This record gives sequence, structure tokens and C-alpha cells, in this order.
Amino acid sequence: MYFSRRQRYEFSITGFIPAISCIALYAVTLIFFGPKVGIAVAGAFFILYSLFSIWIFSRTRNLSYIAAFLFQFFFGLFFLTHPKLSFFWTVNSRISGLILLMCIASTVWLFYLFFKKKAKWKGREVFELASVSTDPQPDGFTGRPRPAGRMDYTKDELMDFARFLSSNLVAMPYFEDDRVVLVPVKMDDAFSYLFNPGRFRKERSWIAFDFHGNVTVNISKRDYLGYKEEFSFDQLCDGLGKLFIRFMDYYRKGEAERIIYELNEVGLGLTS
Amino acid sequence: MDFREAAKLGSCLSKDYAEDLFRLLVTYESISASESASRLNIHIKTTQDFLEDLFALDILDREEVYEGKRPYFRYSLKVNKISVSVDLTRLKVIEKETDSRLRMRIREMKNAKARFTTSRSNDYISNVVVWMGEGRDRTERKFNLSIPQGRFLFHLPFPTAESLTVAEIMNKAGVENIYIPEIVDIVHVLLDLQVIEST
Repeated sequence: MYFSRRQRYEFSITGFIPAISCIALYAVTLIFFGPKVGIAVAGAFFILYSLFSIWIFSRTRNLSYIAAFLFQFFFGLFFLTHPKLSFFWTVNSRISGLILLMCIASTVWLFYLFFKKKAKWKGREVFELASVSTDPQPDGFTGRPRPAGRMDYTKDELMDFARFLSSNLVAMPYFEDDRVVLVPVKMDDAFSYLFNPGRFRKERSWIAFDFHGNVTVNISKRDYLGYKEEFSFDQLCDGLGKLFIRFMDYYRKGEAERIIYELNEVGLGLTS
Repeated sequence: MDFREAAKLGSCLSKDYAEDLFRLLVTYESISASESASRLNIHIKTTQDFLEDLFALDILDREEVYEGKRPYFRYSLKVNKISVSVDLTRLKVIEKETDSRLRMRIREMKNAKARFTTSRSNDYISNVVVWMGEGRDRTERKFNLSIPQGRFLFHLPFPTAESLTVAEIMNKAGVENIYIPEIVDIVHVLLDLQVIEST
């Protein structure tokens, strides 16, 4: 299926900041203290960043962050302990070889997940799909939430659905007293969500499923302005609501993979 | 007694000098405005207005007296007791389901200068803040809503959506017919403030 892009392309370097920082740190220490110190600093950076990855995994339960953790941890360990690279703590070459093997294995796994779009935050795909059947119509924005419909599900089904969306980076759940609020996160918004989830929830669009079966949708001004055209706001909210109702329906029927398939069908790039 | 008369009587009774003036009216067979004003040391115009109000409320009787060239009024009590009884149910605007106001098609107005705040339970609007005026003169008015009103506004069609009748929105929101008067009331207020439009 062909989808014409309806959102503005926003290039953000946020995702590259760790890599750029690591290279910059390595370069600076290499220049001033020599290659061994440079390698040690890069190794320490990798180890520290692996802790950040495991923290993201604890928040999202997305497997690619485990792969990233292993990749960063083993590379950090390799740099810090290799007999020829490290200057303060080394292991024998067989153990170092084993660490290198783990590095390669985790890299292959990470790349596999990356190219299968398992590591992709899919908020942008969500908004593309929500706008599929909307017509351009200006001046329609309102900050009010919109009742999107009703459907039958149990509380356990809802909780599992929310965890599924989280582990696949489709929408991040906020568990409230009588409902679950799902907030789609775009690739360039991931750090905003991770570092300040409370504020993120207030400023972004959400879909809420309450424990009585009511579904409510709210599209934020920021996400609305992310579209190239001014779409009928009513149709857009309706589209987003129906999309998540359909996703919930797939999930209840045991066809959760269709959710991911449908999102990947949009065909956005791996980093957009 | 209707509400307006009751308000007028309430206003008379709340005056500082009311008790003293009534004491004079009980004591004297009849008394003029000038006599009472001089007796109580208040302005004659104040006394005149007070006595005229009581006459309009049918509490006093008045008689025109000619003394010299200028005629004047002498007032005497017509009743010995005053009771205030107001039928509050008469204030309620009774609407029928078939009322034209229920058939009015409405939706939120485009670029309405208003902010809708949802309740804690997130299934109704708890208040609407409307901004009025421009620049430094801009003021805001906050309307705290009853739950039926909030549920009604939660289902109000968006600016680009097809408008619905008040009755259809009430039905969608599950608001019962006993709440029609308060729904119609808030609809009219928001129509006047151009937060919602009728199509």
C-alpha cells in the first residue's frame, strides 16, 4: 500500500548526540593524553551508556535496548581490558577474544533489530495512519478531547495491550486510576519522553482507554502542526481513535503482529 | 409577590433608617415625608423615595393634602404585618423536548477564544475559560459547569465537524431531559460569547 507523506519531516540530531559525544571525547583525549587514554575514556563512555540503555529497557521493555546494552557493555569492556589497548587492567587474550565474539554477536543482533524496525519509535507512523482518510480543512483545532467510541475489553486485556504497545515503541502507557493513557512517541521525541514523561504526557497527543470501555482521543497542537496541511481536526481525532480501537481489536483476537505490520507498511525511514 | 417586588421590599427593609421610619408610621395616624425626615434627621428626598416605594408595594396608603398652595402626600400604614413569599419555581424556564432551542444545531466555533478543562475523571468538561477583549484589556471569565453541562460539552462537535442538535448531543452524552433548562442556559451563554456557533 502506498502512503503519501502527510507530516513534515523533522530532522533531529538528538539520537546522534551519544555517538557524537563519544567520538568528540575520544578525539580530545587522544590529542592530549595519547591513544591508550583515549581508548579507555571511550570504553568508560560505552559502559556508562550501556547503563542508560538498560534503564530505557526497564521503561519500555523493548528488546532492542537489551541488544544495545550488550553491544555497548561488551565494546566498553573490550576497550578497557584488551591487552594491547588498555593500560591499567587487562585480561588474557582468550578472554579478550571471547569478549570480542560477544561484541560481534550483540552487534549482529542490534543491527537485525534495527533493520527490522524493532528499535524504531513509531509515533510518526501512528499519525500518518490516523490521517489517511482526512480531508484538508483549516481552523479546526481545539484543545478539547474527543470521545472516540466504545468497545468491550477487560482490564487485563487493556493492561497487556498497553505493555505490548510500549515494548514495540508504538505508544507509551500512563496507568491512571480508572484508565490507561497511551501517548505515541516519535523518533525525535524519544528523549523528551524518557527524561520528562510527566511533561511529555501533558504536551502530546493521547488516546485513553478507561476501564468501562470508553475511548477518548486528544490531539495536541504540536502534533497537529506537524502535518503539512491543516486537516479536518474532527476527522483526524476520529481517525486516531479508530486506529487504536482497531489495534485493540487485533490484539484481543491474538493478531497483534498485524499492528506492527500495519505500522511498518507506512514505509517511513529507519530513523524518521 | 414576584421576585422583583420582593427584591424592592428587601432593599427597603435593609436601609439603616427603615426600622425608625416604620416606628413612626406605626405611631402616627398619618405622616408626611417632610415630617418624618425632620423627625429622623435624614434628607427629605431619601424619606420621600422610601415612602413612595412602600406605597408602590401596597404597604402604605397615601392621601393628597392641600395646605396653602402646594399639595403634598400624607402616608399611613395599610398593613400591620409584612411577609415575603416568593415562588422560586416560577423562575425556572420550562422547556419542552420539542422546543426550538433543542432543535438548534450547534458546534464549537472556529478559533474560539476559550479553553475547556476536563474533569479528573476525564469524561466531562469541568470548566470553560473564555477570553474577552484584546491586548491589555483582555479579561477572562471562568464558567464552572454542572456535571450534566460538562458531559454535554464533552460531546459538543468540533469546529470542523458536522453540527448536531442540542437534543442529539444530549442523547450522545447520556444527559437526561430533566437537565434541559441548564443545558439550554449554558448553550445560550456560550453562543453569546461566540464559543459555540449555531448553524
